Amino acid sequence: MSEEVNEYINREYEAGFVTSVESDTIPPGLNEEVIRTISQKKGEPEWLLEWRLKAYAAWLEMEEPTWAHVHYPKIDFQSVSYFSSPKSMEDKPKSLDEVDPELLRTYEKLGIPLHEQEMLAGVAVDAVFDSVSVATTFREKLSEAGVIFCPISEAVHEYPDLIKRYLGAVVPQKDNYYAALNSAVFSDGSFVYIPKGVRCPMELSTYFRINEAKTGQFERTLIVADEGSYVSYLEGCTAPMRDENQLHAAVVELVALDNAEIKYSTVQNWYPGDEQGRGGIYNFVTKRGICHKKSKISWTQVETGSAITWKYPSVILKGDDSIGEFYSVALTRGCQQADTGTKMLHLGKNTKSTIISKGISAGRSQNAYRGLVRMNPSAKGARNYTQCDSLLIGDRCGAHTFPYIESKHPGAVVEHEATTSKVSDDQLFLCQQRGLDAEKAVSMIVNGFCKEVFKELPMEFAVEAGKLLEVSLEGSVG
Amino acid sequence: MSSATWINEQIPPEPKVDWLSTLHREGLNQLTDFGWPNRKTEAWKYSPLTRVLKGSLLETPNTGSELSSFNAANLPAVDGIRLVFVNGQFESGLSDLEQLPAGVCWVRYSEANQEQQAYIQAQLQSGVVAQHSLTALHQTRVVDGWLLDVDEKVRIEKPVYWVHWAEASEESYSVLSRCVRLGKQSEMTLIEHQLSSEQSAAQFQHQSVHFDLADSARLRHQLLQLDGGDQVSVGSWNSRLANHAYLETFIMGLGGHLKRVDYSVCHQGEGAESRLDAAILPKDKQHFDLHTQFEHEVPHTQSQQVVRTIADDQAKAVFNGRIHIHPQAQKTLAELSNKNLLLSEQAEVYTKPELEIYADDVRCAHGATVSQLDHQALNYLRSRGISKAEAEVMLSFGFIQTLIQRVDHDVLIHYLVERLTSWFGADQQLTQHLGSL
Repeated sequence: MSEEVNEYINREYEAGFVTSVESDTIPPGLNEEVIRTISQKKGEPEWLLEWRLKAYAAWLEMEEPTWAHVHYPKIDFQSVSYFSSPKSMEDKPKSLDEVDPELLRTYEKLGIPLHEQEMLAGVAVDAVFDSVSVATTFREKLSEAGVIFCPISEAVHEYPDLIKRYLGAVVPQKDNYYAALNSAVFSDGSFVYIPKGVRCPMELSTYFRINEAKTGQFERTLIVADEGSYVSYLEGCTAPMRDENQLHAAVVELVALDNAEIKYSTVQNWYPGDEQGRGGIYNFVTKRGICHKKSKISWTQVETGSAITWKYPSVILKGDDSIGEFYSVALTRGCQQADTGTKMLHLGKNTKSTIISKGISAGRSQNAYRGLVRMNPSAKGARNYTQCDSLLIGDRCGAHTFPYIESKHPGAVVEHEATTSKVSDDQLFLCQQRGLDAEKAVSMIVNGFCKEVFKELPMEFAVEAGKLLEVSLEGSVG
Repeated sequence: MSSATWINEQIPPEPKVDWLSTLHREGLNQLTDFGWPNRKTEAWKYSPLTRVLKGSLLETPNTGSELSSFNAANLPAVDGIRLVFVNGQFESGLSDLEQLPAGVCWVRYSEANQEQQAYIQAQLQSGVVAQHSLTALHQTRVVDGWLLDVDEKVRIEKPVYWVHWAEASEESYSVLSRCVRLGKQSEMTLIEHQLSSEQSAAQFQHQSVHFDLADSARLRHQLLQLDGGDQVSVGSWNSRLANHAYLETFIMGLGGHLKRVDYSVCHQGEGAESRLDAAILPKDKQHFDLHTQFEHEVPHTQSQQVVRTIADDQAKAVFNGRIHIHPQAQKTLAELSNKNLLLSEQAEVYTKPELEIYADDVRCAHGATVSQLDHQALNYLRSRGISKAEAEVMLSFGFIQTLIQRVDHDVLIHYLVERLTSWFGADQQLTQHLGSL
């Protein structure tokens, strides 16, 4: 079996190719001038530049957080280039046909043929390449339903009122170190607005890719679901293999107004670095949603990539009877480190939250769940259920759990449980006795371990996530 | 005064033995590194220490042995070997030293023999598991202390009964350091009973204990923090367990302005096993903070923790339970259960059960719940003709009763039930059945 193991362990990162596209990258470094340049390149209005500069001023005052259970050399923020755009994007394409074919081929390699998806999957895709949104499919069909789905840089011009009202409403500029950095230099991202009472006719999707060397990616996603609307949003990410570490500091804001529902699914497969832990993406992401009355926000994530993940998709349950959900599978192998979890802040009456977190660690990786459940004095009748399970594969990895529970109302009920185990010999034996080889048996057991989360993913994503997990995992079994 | 200036102005007291000055210096360095805890300090996140620094609690040492209201007759009639501390000072006059059996030595650090002193120094220097600003501060202030040295194969039949009496005429602090060394296959029960005078001014009791259990030694430890009033009590209990050593702990926490217990157990020998049961009951404006840290350093060790909290009125209960499985500690079995009951609108509970695991063939689990009393159970009792108030008392008491049964000492159980009765309500009608439950 050890040969098989070696083979799988040495399996390469499949999305690790570089696309040779001429690009317009501003030199590394961060100062006010850089922010002005970014803003100018995007032709932004004055108020947004002010907003960015305010964030930058705040960022300068802030300290880099060190509380997470991850270790990495200090990041030199001056060596990162904060804006990179494929040259051919200078004259924005009007439709898919005008997009640089080289770019489209990149996405094809990644398994998201834009054309095909447009036809078959019925998923509207907004693809972000380095710092710029490349193409958004299905826009016409969406606009018939009144749904706005476009790059955020475009939305700034076309829907300034909405952007002014909601940008930074959930994650303020000064929220945390990386959110402040993002607010100062954010390049592009997606903006979604679902009007009152509309059920978005298809799943929306964004694909992020970092291509250029020494660049960081700082996209910003803003989704506003107006009263009584529904939207399901998918997000996927990849990056080329490089020796140096690249920074990805995104911000995602969700606003669910009364009776609205947002389902946000992520399959994160950034380059995790090689076996020795060289290179890989630092994924420092702030994701947060706010729920108004009787609304619902559901985060589902499958995290298999990144050298370091630092991410806590949260829900502020502000309105009475609102619901927050978090389903997560985080797989780490090699030298990956993940510190991920969620925050459920219960403010409204009868608010409910469910947290299901499955951590799988293999190789020499460290996988931590960090969560906060806070019942405020106003959270009468609120409920939370948390379950975090860890699975260890191999004796050199680590699995950690840091759940913070704060309750300030006797009528609120919080339940938390966590277990840690390895793939049991009995289970393996049973499967092998039935004729499965060890690899398949483990894959099956792990799939069963994650089933509760996978069933929350939209179908196409569930298949992708299952496959991703399978290839990431198989090698690690000894 | 800013906390940084305050730290810089700390001058350690004159120690009774020379090697303590080294310890003081190290403590001062640590204290400077840690700084005074604020809201962002993880170890003190939910337990603000502003009052402790603002008042004169940390300025004046309490050396007076004020005994005006101490009355041994009020103590439970534990048939044990009583050792009494008043404001951190040992009182031989009130203690039963003559009852200590052969093979057991009770000695001041400063009067211990050379081997013992070297041992104590090592314990104090590296034995603190969960280090933070307050353990560093404690280290700078230890002037002397007490060692209980139990020889191999000695079984102390009667429980050793430490009584801590706190009474001060003005705001002050007391410092107490102790080491307990249990030789191979020795066995003892240790009851620690903290109580205070009702008229006492606020006092900051700062203590540390080091338990060292050699192969197959057994210790049953009962820590009863029952002092009330304006007392601030901060202490760290550190245990080391060698092969097949066994530690069983019961903690009961009542009263006090601010209480902090750091209870750490290091399983350093194969087959070591520990169990901790804790019942924490803050009420009024009290604040109780329990931090446990269980280190599993070698294969085949076990631990189990059960912590239950009832918070009433405007009280705050904090629990942080950390289980750390080291890379080579395969076949570890570690469990933690933490249940919290909120009895009032203003009570608050903060809990964080932590797992940090670096070995794969282990079984670890923790669970935590926070809620109020079960309505169905309440309704059931009421449908049987029991008043709401009495039903509430019965259910709350039932919540911690199984833990109290672990004490296994009838006199003490009776005494604790009595204390609990008054905790649950002055109305005798409500609590008349508790004793027989």
